Amino acid sequence: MTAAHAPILAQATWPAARAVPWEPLIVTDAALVVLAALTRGAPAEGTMPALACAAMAAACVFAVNDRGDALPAAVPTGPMRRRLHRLSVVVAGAAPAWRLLLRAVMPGVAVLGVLPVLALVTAGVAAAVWAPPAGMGGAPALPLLWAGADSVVAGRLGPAGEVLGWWRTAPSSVLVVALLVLLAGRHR
Amino acid sequence: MTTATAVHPRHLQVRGLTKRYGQIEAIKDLSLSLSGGLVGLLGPNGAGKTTLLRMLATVLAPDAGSLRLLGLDPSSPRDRVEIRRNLGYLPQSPDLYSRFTPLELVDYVAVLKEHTHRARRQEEVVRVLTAVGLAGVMHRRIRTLSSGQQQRVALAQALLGDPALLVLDEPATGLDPEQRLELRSLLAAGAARGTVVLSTHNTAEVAALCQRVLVMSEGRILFDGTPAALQERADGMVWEDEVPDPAALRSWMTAEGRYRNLGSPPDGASRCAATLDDGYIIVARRHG
Repeated sequence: MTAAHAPILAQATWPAARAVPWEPLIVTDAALVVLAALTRGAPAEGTMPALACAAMAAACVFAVNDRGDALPAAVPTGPMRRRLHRLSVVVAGAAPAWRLLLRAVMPGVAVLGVLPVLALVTAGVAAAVWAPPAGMGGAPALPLLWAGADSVVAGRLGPAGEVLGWWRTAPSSVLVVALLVLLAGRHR
Repeated sequence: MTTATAVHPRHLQVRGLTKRYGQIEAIKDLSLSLSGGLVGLLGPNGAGKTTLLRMLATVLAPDAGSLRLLGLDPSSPRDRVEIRRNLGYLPQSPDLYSRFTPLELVDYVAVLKEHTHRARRQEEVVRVLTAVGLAGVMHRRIRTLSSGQQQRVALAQALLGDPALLVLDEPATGLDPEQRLELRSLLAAGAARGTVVLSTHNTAEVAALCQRVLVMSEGRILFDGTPAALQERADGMVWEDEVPDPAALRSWMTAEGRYRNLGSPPDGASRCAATLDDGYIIVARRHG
């Protein structure tokens, strides 16, 4: 982003936030509250935060995907700038809610921070950018599939299975790689 | 500090353009040169009209060939931004944010079009909404508007800043006859400033508006000329009869219950005057 784009993106923030479909995030939050209440006391402390994290990331990827983006397709503010701007709007809205949610309904659990969610969200958005048009709708499933594979099969794969856990154990690296993949698709 | 690049509002050149979607070649080695005015794009569904318009709008990059839009090269990032500053694009059936009002949506697009001076932007947004006849509903939610009104909201954003190049994919969809007349005035004004390229299935629209018409099929241009010249393609090739002629290129029943046939008329056939529709069908069928 250059300084020349700052006033454009600043003025576009409120309409961009209004254009985001927040409903899936709200529904996900509500579902996680219910799930946390139902499983309270159960020995699922490792799985529950991971599931919550992936569900939150999936809802964010869905929210970043802009169905109304065809209309401003040919404006000087390019698609990558608009996509990153929307991503930052969604993350800015979702991250505080995520922290509050974890503290309120899963106190004492080994809590995953915002960074793993951000890594999964960025990976999902990058997948959406590179997916063929027919497959873009499946991008929100990526965080769930990734975290699911990490929980279910990673242990059986030995050292290779550690890779599946990088979103938890090395979220900064996953985030950087996902951002690079995302930026490489800037003309898509 | 960047230097403004010179824009030539009436210069649009396409050379050997090709675009593939997997195995399908949507545009095949297409060449074209436009020098302003209003150009209509006719063709059956799947002819490649939308793909061509998306490339003219800098939304889609070609797989091969070259483009010069407004005298600039859209494959260069700097030129592309400059083209987009002087371009209005209406995609086919775009999704609109239904929670927004027309004023809010067009204002949002105006921000993305770098209209950052709030007062001037507000003035411009109201101007384009008034031009498309939406002044009375600009504060209503888009979801409460009719499909014709929603189409005009989408058209309004394309008119922001009186662009030198207007690329419109089926702009008349959902408009009633009166709204179509208003659209004609708007497009004529756009053509006076620079170049307007529109796609349509409505030959009457082309006859009323366009100085030039292109007929596309299977990614190629089959005809390039004036609407009158397209109509002339069917001169002497239209006849009516009580029954459909199996040898005709195309036959259909008219409101009077007779059959209108296109092709090589048999001896003694009751020939009739050709229309633009007839000319279009002759061109499209002969190559189909």
